[in-house]
Amino acid sequence: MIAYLNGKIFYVDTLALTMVCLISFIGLIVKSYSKRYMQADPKLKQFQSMLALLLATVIVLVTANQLLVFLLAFGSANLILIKLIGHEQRWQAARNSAKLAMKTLGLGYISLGCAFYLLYYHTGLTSIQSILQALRLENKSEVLVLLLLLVTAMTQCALWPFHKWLLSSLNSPTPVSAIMHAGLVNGGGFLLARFAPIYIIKPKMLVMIFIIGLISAILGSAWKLIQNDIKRMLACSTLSQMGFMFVQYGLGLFPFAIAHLCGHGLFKSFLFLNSNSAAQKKRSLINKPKFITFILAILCGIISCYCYLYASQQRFYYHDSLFIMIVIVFITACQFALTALSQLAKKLWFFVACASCFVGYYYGVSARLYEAWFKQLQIINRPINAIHLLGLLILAIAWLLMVFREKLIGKEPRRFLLWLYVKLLNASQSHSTTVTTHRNQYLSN
Amino acid sequence: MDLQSQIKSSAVICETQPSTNEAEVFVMSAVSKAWQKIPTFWPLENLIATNPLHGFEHLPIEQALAEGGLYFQHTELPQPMHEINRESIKWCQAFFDQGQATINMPLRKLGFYQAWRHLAAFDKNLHKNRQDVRNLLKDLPYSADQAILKYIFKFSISAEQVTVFLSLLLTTLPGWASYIKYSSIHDTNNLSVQLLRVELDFLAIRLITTYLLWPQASQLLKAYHKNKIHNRCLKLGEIKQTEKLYHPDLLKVLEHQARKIKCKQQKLNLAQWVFCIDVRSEGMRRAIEACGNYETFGFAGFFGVPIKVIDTHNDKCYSSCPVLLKPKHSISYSIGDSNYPQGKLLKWLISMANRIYQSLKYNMITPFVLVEVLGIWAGLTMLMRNFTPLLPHRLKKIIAGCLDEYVKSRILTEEIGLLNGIALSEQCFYAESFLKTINLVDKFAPLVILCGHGSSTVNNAYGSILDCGACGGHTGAANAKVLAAILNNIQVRQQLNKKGIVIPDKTRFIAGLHNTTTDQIELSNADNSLAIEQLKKDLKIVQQLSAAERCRQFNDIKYPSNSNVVHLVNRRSFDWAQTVPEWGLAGNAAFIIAPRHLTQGLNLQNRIFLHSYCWEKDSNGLILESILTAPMIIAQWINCQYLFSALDNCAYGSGSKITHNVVGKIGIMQGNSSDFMHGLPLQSVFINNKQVYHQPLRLLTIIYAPRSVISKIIYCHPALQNLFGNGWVKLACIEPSNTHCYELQRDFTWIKNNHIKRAD
Repeated sequence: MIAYLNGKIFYVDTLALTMVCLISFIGLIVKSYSKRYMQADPKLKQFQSMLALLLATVIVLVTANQLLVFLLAFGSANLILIKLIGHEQRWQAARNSAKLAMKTLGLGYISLGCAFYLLYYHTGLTSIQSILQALRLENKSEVLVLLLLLVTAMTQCALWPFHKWLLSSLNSPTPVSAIMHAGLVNGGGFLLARFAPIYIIKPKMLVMIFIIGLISAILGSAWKLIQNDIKRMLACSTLSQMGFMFVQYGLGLFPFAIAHLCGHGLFKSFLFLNSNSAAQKKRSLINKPKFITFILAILCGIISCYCYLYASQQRFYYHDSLFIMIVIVFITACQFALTALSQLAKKLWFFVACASCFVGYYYGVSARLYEAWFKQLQIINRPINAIHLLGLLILAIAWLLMVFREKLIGKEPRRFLLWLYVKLLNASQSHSTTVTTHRNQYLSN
Repeated sequence: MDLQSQIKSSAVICETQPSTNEAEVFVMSAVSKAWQKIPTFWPLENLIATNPLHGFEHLPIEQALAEGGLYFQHTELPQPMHEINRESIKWCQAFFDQGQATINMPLRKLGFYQAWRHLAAFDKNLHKNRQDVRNLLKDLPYSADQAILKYIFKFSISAEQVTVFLSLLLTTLPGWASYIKYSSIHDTNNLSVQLLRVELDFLAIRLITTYLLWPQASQLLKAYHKNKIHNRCLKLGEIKQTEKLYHPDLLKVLEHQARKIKCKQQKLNLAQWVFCIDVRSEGMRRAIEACGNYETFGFAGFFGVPIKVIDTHNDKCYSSCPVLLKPKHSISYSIGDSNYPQGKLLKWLISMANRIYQSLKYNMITPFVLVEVLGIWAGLTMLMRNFTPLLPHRLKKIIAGCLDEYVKSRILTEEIGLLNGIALSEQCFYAESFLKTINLVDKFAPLVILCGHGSSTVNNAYGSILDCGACGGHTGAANAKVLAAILNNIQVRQQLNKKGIVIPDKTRFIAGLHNTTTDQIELSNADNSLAIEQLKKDLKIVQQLSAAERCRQFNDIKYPSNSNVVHLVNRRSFDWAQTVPEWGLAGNAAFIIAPRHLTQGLNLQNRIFLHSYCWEKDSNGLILESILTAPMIIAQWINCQYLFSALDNCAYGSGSKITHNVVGKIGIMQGNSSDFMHGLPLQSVFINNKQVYHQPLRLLTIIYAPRSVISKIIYCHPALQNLFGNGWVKLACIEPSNTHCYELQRDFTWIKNNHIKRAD
C-alpha cells in the first residue's frame, strides 16, 4: 500500500526528505515557542491547530507526485499562511497585510494552475515524475510552462517585483514570521528544484533566473543595510538570500541552492524568534581597514579558497559556473580575514591565516556533503557567459564599495548619494495600508 | 490659488503681524506650551516608568483624564494625517536609530531638521514630482525656528488656536514625541548629535510635512473640538471602584497592626538586610524574616549614592541613580553581561567572534555564505533554547570555566579603587544620611547586607524596566557595593563615631544583589566565615519559599515540591519564548513610610513599596521631606505607568508583545511600522486579552508620623500639593500618638478614617 502510494501519489526522494525534515524541525520549534510566547492570546488553541495543519499541508506538498495533490497542498498551505498573517483580526493593518499577501500569492497560484494545466494538456499525464521524463519542450507553449512556474516561484519567494507582500507581512505574530521565512517562502525554491530537470534543458531560462535572482540579491542587500527596525531588516535580508538562491539555480548549482535554502531557513527562523533581544545586542565598532591589511586579507582569502577547493574536491575552471561560487567564497573569506586582521595586532596574522584555512576547509567539507546528499540533483556545470561575469563583477564591486565606503563618501556626501538613500528608503517601506499610522488604530477594529 | 501665490499671501500675513519679534516670542511660547503636554519616555536600554499624563499633573486628575482623552485617546484621525504620520515615522526612525542600520541616515550629525532639510528635496513621497513643491523643498528656511515661524501662519488659524494646533501635531504622534522629549532633555550619550534643539526640529518637520500634504490642516482643530463634545476619556469612577476594594482594608489592617505592637524589644539579630523600596522586595523581606532572626529595612535602591558606572566589561557607561538626580561620581566597575559573567579570555573571544559575525552579516555578498555555514548551528541553538532553556546557560558556564577562572558572581569584584572618586566628607555624608533615614543607628548586627536588585531575562526587549527604577533602569549592584565599601571604611566609621553613630568593629557591611526573576540573592563576599555560611544556607531556603510563592502566582504547578520550584523559576527566567518572565511591579498599590514593625508579619502580596522611617528620630521632618520628594515621586511615576497601561493599552501602553518590532534599538513599534509605542506591553499588565492582572488604582501613600509634620512638608512643596491636591496620589497617615488613621482630603484637611467606605 505504502509502496503504491509512494509511486503514484507521493514521491519521496532526498529532496522531499530534506524538506520534510527541515519543515518539521522548524515547525516543532515554532509550535513549542508559540505555546509560551502567545499564552496571553485567546486564540492560542486555534493558532496552534492552524500551525499543525500548515505543517501537514507543507509535508504533503513537498512529497506530492500528482499535479492535483501538489496544487491543492500548495493552495491550502498558502491560504493558512495568509490566515496566520492576519491572526490579529481586530487590527486593520494586519488584515491589510493578509490581503496583500493574498493578492500576490493568489497571482502565483493562478500561474501555477495554468502551468499544471498546460503540462497535463501536452503530456496527458498527471504524475509529476513521469511528466518530467516525458516533456520534450518542443513548442512555445511548453516553454510557457517554465515561465509560469517561474512566476509562481518568484511570488512565493517574494522576489522583486513581487517583494512588497513580504516586506509588509510583519504585522503577523513573531512565530508566524519565523515559519514563513523559514518554510513557506522557500516554497518557490522547492518548486524550481522539483522541476529542475526541465529547466536544465533550456539554458536561456537559467540565465533569466540568474538575472532575476541577481536583482533581488543586490536590492535586498542594499535595503537591508539601511533598515532601522529589526524585523524589516530581516525581511529585506530574506529577499536578498532568496535572490542569491535563484542565482545559484541560474548557475545550475541545484544542490547548493537547496543547501542555501535549508541553511537560510534555520538561520532566519532563529533570528526572528530571537528578535526581541535586538535592543540589547549592540553593534561592535570595527576598525577601518588599512590598505596593507586589505592585501593581507586577500592573501588569506586565497589560502582559504584553496582549502575550500581541497576539501570540496571541486575542480577549478575559469569557464565553469562553479567559478562564481568560488569567487563568492573567496570574498567571504577575505572579509573574514579583513575583520580579524584589523582587530588584532599584526603579529597574529598567522593565526588569522590558520582560521581562514579552517573556515574554508569547513565550508568545503559541507559543500561536499551537500553534493553527496543531493546526488539526484547533480551539479550541471554550465559554461560561463558574459552575463554571469557581469553579475559577478557587480557583486564584487558592491562588496568593495561596502568595505571602503567611509573613504569613498568622505565628510560631505554627494547629492547623488543623498538621492540614492532617499530612493532606497522609500522603496523599502512597507505597503502604505499596512502601516499603523495612528496608535489608537491598533486593535480598534 | 497655486502654491506660489499662497506663499506670497501668507508672507503678507506674516508682515501684517505686529512685529516679527513679537510674533516669534508668541510662537515660541506656544511651542513650549505644546511640548509641555508631552510626557517623557526613556529608551529600552534604560527604561524607567513615567506618567503618560505627566504634562497634565498640574490639573485635577479628572480634568487630566479628560485632556488625555482628547489628546491621546481619540480614535479617529482625519484621513490626510495618516500619510503625514507615515512620513514622520519614516524620518524619525531613520534619524533616531541607535545602531540598527548599517548605513545610517546621511548628515545626521547636523541635527534632525538640517539633515531632513537636505534629504527632503529628494523625497518623492513629499513632492510627488510637482516642480513647485520641489523648489519649495530646495530652499527651506535655514533653521527650525525660522521654519516654524514661516509655516505656522500658512494654515490660517487664529492666534489663540496656535498652541492647540501645535499640540495636536505632537499628540497625533505621541510616542515619537515623547521619545524626542527624552532625547532633548536626558540623552547625554550622544553629544555629537545636536539634540538640544530636537524638539523644535521635530515640530518644524511636522509643520512642513503637514503643509505639503494637507494644506487645509486647520480642520484638525475641527476634529479636536468635535472630540471635545464626545470625549470618550477614562473616568475616575472606575479607578475609585477598585480602590474601594483595596485601600480601606489595607488601612484597617495597618491601624490594627499599629495598635498591637507599640514597642517591642528586639532580640539581637544575626544579620540586618537593607532592600530597595521596590514592591518585589516585600515578598523577599517576608521570606527572609520567616527564615531566621533577621531584621530588614527598605531604602531607595541606589542607596543614596548618585554614581555614574563605567562598566569596564562591555565599555558601557550609565548613570546609576534616579533620573531626578545628576550623578556626582564615576565608578569603574566590571559587571558584565547580566546573565553570563565572563573572564577576560572568554570576553575577548566573544567580542572577536561577534565582530567577525557582524562584519559578515551586515555586508554585501558575505551573508550568503554565512547563512550556509551557520544554519545548522542556528538550528541546534534553537533546539536547546526551546526545550532546555537552562542548558545554553550551563554550557556557557562550563566553557567559561575551562578557558579561565569563571567569575561566579556579578558583584564579586575588587574593592580597591572603588571609592577613589569620592571625598571622605562626601562618604561620611552618604553613610550618615543612609543610616539615619532608615534609623539604623544602634544595635548593629555582625552582618549588614545591602541588597540592590536586578532582573535576569533573555530575549526580552523590556528587560531594563524590570531592573531597579531608582538606579535609572539598571541593576543596583554597583551602588550597593559602593555604599558597603563606604560603611566599611575605618575613617568613615571614625567620623560617624563623633556624630554618635557607633558601628561596632565586628560589624561588616556586605553588598548583595537580589535577582527579582529567580529570587536568588548573591553576596559579594567570598569568604567562608561561619556567619556567611549560615547566611547562604538560609538564602537557599528563602529562594525556595519565594519560588514556591511565585509558582503559585503563575499557576505553574499546583502542589510545588520543594526542589522543583527553583528549577521552574530559573527556567522561566532563561526561557526565550517567555513574555512574562516575572510580574515586575505590576500590582503596585501603596507606599508605606513607616518602621518595619508596622507591616511585619503581614502578607502584602508584593504590592507595596516599603520605606523604613522612624518619626521619633526626625523631629524637623527633613528625612520625611526627602522621602516624599524623591522616592515617592518615582513610585508615583511607576504607579501611573502601570495604571494607564492597564486602563488603555493602545493609547498609553505598547500593545501585545507578540507583534512587537524593535526599532532603532531604542523602542518598540507594532508590526511593520507604527508610532513609537511608549508604555508597557499588554503582557506586563494583563493575564490575557481580557483579564487584567494589574488592578488599576492610584498610589496610596501611608505615613506613620504626626499629621502636623506632614502638613508642614506639603505646604513647602508645590509638587506635592499638585500630587495630593489634584488627586494623583492619595495620602493617609497613622497618627503615632493615638494610632488613628487619617486621610488627607484634596483641600488638604485631614479626616479621620472610621472604616467607612468612602470614595475619595
